[in-house]
Amino acid sequence: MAQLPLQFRLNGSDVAVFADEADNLLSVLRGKVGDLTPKFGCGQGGCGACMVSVDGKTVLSCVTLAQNVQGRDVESLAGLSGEQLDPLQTAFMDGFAAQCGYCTPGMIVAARALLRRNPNPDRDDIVEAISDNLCRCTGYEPIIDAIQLVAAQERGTRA
Amino acid sequence: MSVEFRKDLFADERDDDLNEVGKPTRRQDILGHVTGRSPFFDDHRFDGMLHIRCVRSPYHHARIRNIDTSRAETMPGVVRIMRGADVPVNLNTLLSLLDFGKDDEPVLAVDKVAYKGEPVLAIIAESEAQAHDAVNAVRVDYEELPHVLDVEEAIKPGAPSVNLTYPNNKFEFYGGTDKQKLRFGDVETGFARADYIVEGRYQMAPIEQAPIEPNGAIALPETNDRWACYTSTQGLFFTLGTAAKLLDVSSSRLHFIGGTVGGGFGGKVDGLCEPLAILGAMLTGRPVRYVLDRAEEMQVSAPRSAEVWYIKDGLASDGRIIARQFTGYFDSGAYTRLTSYGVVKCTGHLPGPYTIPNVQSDLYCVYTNRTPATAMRGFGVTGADFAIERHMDKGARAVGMGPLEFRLINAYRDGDMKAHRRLAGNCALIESIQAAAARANYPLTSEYMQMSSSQGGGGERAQIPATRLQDGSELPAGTRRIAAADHAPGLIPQVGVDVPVSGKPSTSATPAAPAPAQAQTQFAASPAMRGYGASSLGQSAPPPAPPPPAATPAAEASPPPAAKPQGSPGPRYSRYSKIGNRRR
Amino acid sequence: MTVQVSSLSTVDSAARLLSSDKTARMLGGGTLLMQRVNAGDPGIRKLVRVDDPALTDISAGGANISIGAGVTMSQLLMKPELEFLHSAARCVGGPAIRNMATLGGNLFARAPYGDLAVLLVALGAEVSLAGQSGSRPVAIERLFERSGSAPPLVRAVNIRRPQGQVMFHKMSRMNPRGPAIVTLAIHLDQSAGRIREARVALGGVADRPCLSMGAARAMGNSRLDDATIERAVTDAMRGIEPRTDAIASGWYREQMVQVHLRRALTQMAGG
Repeated sequence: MAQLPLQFRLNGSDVAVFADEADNLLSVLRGKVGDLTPKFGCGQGGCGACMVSVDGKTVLSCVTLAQNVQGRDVESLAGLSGEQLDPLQTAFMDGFAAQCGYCTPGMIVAARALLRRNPNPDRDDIVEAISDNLCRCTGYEPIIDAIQLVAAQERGTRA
Repeated sequence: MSVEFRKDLFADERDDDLNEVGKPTRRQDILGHVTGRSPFFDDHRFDGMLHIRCVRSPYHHARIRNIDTSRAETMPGVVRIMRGADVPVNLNTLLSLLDFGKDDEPVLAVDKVAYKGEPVLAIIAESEAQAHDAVNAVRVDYEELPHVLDVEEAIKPGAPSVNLTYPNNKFEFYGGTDKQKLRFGDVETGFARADYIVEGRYQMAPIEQAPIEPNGAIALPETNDRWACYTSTQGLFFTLGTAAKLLDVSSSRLHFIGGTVGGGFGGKVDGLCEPLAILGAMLTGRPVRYVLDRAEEMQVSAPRSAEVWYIKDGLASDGRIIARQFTGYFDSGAYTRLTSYGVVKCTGHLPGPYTIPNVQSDLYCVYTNRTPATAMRGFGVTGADFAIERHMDKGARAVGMGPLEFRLINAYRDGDMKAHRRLAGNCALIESIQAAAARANYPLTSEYMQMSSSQGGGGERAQIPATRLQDGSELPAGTRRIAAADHAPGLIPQVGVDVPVSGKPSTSATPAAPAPAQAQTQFAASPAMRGYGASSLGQSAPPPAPPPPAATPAAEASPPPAAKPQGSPGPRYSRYSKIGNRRR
Repeated sequence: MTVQVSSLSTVDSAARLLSSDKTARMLGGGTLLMQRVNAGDPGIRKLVRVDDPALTDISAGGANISIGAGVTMSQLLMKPELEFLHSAARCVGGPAIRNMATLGGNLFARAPYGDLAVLLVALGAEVSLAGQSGSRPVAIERLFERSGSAPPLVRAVNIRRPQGQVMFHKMSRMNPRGPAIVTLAIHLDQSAGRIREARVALGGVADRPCLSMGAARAMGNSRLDDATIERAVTDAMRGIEPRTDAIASGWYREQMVQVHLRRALTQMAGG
């Protein structure tokens, strides 16, 4: 089966793999690169568990043709925390914003993208910002609270 | 989120000295969740891993005339095509591990398919895309059969037989009855005395659990002739036991790794993927991954059953419910997963949290050509509650009362006798309604605001009425129960079986069967089945059970996966006794 | 048998390839097409990617607006000149879907998707097709009439900057992001107190967006008063058979069209 070379940056590091022509980005990240933080939930762009950013914009990696990220910057949940956790991760832990944990990577990617483009989100903005992401456990409220808390903390830090 | 604790209502339940309850705490697994490192089954990858996709029935009901795999076999990447004949024990029912129900469902259909999406073949290929292509290349010659998708249609004479194990389309409960019965008092007398008769029909659609992680498993050979299985199952040992039976191997040769589940809600107890993944690993000697895609998760993985309910109430003009009769039909789909158990559980839940002196219920577990139904968040209870509470509103209107007042009048109070012959205790429905009314600015008069669960119960309301049986005979008033431990060692004492000490047993039970079993059929849910899951189910073992389907060595080798040892009656945890300080 | 990808540099070459290969599909944002690829749809054997700047051009300065078919919802939302499209673009998916989903893809989305297309129908937008040089743009609703033959490749959508009142409303059981029960878009062009032209487009009721001829006729050359509104509501579903699916019954959809059309027109009459 013909495989094509594919190069991109993942969380700041260069990645070079061979992938099937019509592979989606999620299967390349999980199966070829070994970044298991984005999750497979639906393969239809409907649940948000596979969300990553490409050139700073969130996408659903399961419906992104992998060839389309050739030469581009991809960021997954794995890129959000290094030695230190992202404050969103801490807030999710403290606020019980994850139960089964399967939607959590996509949820945090979406939340960080929101706070980057809008440091002062109101509750409706947050609801809108995570509307690509389904959660079947929490009922969303603890997630929204955690994001709101981090937004307030980060505003305080900047002030 | 603000939470208001009304500990005063339960002050006599236990000492209020718990260290964790009511206080925020971090989940122990949450660091893995927020960093994306929690090991879900699909986060394990193996060299040479193969992938399964199933050929599925496009029809609700059809005979399989011929399966032509010749083209698919030669397609690139195809390693093996599994048929029903490849499955060592290709007939099972989930609760056979607990001697409840007969084996009725194949892993891979052989002669006929009974629901849309039923698996016929499992194709193992090097990649998912190749498996997809091979699935599309298989030609199955079906002869379409008449189908039935509605529970009430399915039990009419002449309806197509969905499930050949139960040709009348009705599950057989303990003692061979076609329904689960509850009898308390005499509803006909109650209706005759009533000022109002209120009837209603209610129905619920199936509900998909829709966990974000789909059902799936990865199996691979281990050393020592064992197989490992990474799985999303909610019931690790339950699924292990199921797989051992289907594959005819000792459970000690299966090594299940799970526990990190991306949402289940009841949708991951059926073990749909594990047996085929393991069989694939057995047949190919390679790691094999079988994951449902989202369309399969919606169409094929089992939802909560659809239900149809008929409720008839006899009401006194002062608002008291003096008789309530239920007839309910649960849609099990084409085979038996857990709906039969849902029906039993439901019977233990009736007639809702209301003190009613005459209650009768007949619940049926019905087969239709729909997706098999299983566990889903409160299955057997939520649907019944929907029907009951809609009917309560209807009853309130009939007697000209407010919906809350009507419920307050009829609510359980401490010391009341429930329809399954247990006393109600620690009731709080009245207080809950009062608190809700206050929050909603619903004007309750002082008469209703002063009601209390701890007052006014018992006495007359604690009486067990004479109970009319189907054959016209009568159990005398006051017929109580025998403690479960007296006749069925191993049952959890506090949820004892309700059996009469006197009176004529049900005619529906087989004459040869011992009395306790008959009574069990007659009165209520098998009590040990109140809890969810294999551990409590495992102990119910009703005396007149059909011969263990597990005449297979597999079942001998894999005892029911009872996680909690309950072999002895153990301490009686009365709801009223102080458990005391167990932590310090 | 696995799916191939053809990367081309012009829309015209893509149009030629698509017209000659029934199993080839144009890849826009992928939000709908990649689902089918992932599901192993045997009808799709080739994906066509086009890296043609013409597809992402936006010319929105004047009265005649042209938007490339490859422009995403997010890009539309960043253009203040296209504010009249924002209410519809914003209700397509969530932020990540909008970063991917394209204008061209929305035109070919089947109900319950394709909300923006409903507004474009109400606005009388036209599409210019690739691979048919010299051919005139065609009315957008003509795209939806074709069946059987391979869909044409849309290069750009052309819209006259709307005069008069525009109203867009999506009704969904889930907010902020859910499939449409009905989507309603209205463009009223009034002069001297009379409606010169009324276009009422409906989404969700049929497989593709459609114009309500009944509502248009009922309002033409009338004043937007209570009687006109009632006539429009009564006639809105004339000749349209609303679809029943898992999201809503046809009966419910018809009721919702009438409820929301009455509300919208009443609001437009007041404003």
